Amino acid sequence: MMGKLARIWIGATRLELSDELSYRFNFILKTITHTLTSAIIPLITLLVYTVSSGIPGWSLEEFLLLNGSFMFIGGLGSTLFQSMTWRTIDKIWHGRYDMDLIRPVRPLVLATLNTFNPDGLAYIFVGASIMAVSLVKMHWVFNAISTLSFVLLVGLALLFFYSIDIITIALSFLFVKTFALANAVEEIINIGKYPLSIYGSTGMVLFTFLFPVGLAGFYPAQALLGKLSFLMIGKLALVAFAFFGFSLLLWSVWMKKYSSAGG
Amino acid sequence: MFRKTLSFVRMGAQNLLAYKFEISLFTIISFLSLSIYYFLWHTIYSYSNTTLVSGFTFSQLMGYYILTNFAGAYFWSDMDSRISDRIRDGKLIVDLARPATLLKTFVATEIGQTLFVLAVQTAPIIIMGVLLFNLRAGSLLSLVLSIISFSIAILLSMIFVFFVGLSSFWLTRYHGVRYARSALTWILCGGVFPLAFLPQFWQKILIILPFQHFVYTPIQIFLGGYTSITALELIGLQIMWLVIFYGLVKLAWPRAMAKFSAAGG
Repeated sequence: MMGKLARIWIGATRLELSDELSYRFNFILKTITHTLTSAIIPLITLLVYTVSSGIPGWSLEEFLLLNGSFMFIGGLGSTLFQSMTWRTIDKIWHGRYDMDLIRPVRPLVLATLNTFNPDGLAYIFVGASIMAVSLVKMHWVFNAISTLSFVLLVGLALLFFYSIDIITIALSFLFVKTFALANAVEEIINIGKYPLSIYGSTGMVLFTFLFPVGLAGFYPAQALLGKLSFLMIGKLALVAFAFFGFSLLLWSVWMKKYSSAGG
Repeated sequence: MFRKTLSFVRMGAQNLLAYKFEISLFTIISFLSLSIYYFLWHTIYSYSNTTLVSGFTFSQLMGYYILTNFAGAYFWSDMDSRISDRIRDGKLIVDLARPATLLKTFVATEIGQTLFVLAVQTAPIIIMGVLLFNLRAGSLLSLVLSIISFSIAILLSMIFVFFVGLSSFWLTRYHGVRYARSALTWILCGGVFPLAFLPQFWQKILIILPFQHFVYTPIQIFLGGYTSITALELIGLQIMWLVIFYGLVKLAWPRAMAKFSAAGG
């Protein structure tokens, strides 16, 4: 079974890459633009810390680490599965989703395997570079526990992103054309671009336990800085898996509403 | 002739009527985006124990972000993508057969869409700015000059998008250019942060370029960031860029037509 899935993923990824590379100018221009626009986030941070005292409890280097984590995780999500949202909504909108339903693989698995997107690679590269520079500037000493915690939280963040994508697609089974909702989700994710402390204690609880968008950058950065306890990591894991379960439930319930009529 | 153009404006607005759900959702997105800026900058102002950051009070900065939202209504145009799509599916030939130039039909349709978005999507955000952040024009003169400046900025932004969109006559796939055009220009025109935050060196470079006149210039005129004389000079510069881009469109158009085969692909 795993071999079959791997073959589908490799085939789809190869196809996507060959399609992108057959329009080389377009690909190069997009990559350059993604790199430049992702560099704007640390630039804003630098400007903020130049014109003000910044955010309480976060030095410039720590804030840059948060920026880098946010971009790195966002880039991973974007490269590995996030384009499944747009592609699946487009299929539902045009009434072409039936094609996926008759294939011998579960529709959600198929959607996930068919969504390699090289656009996110620039964010992974820039995010990792910013993280590396900020860690060097902080004279960070390698710590296996912090690093493992970070890797674990990156995994949880990806699970959270994946769950949101599943919910967005599931909503399109009800409302058909939900591209604007996908845009809204991108904006909601931006909440995690900054330390959760800026949203006050209510925001902190809300974005940790109810809608764990803090996983998008805040908590992974804290893990790397060694500021996150095992207990907190455990709680975050529980929340992320509960959110994932909830998204699967919505998918299975709302998929039954798919009418194949398009919109 | 004016009636013909007006009918394209009306058509543009009517097209958007079909997307009521999307438009209302975009209003919510704008509120969300502004809320994030609110929490971020509120924390920064409080922690820095200051009332001014790069010449902006907290209310002025929030006013600035609210107005970038307003400017977004005309800035985030997909006119260039529409040109590209119509070249690819061969439908551009229908547009060329119309009794008005392609520039006029596309810009008029875009104006109709912009007016609709401004009225439906942006108005609630402006009202929120007025009520919550005391969003006001610097003076009556600033208000009048900013209306003139915003009107030119709308046309300037559209003609720029049209000009860049003409490159799709030469390109098989246009997405990359579109993304570069929108994302980079939005940063350079002050859409992400006020350009006053940048060091003087970069501000001097940006003033030579046309981009800040799309968004930053009209907003700063509205907020009273310039003297009347400087505001008038900047409006003059906006007109100059409008003429330059119009000239560039006129120059590129015959070459684009020579390239066009109407076959699609």
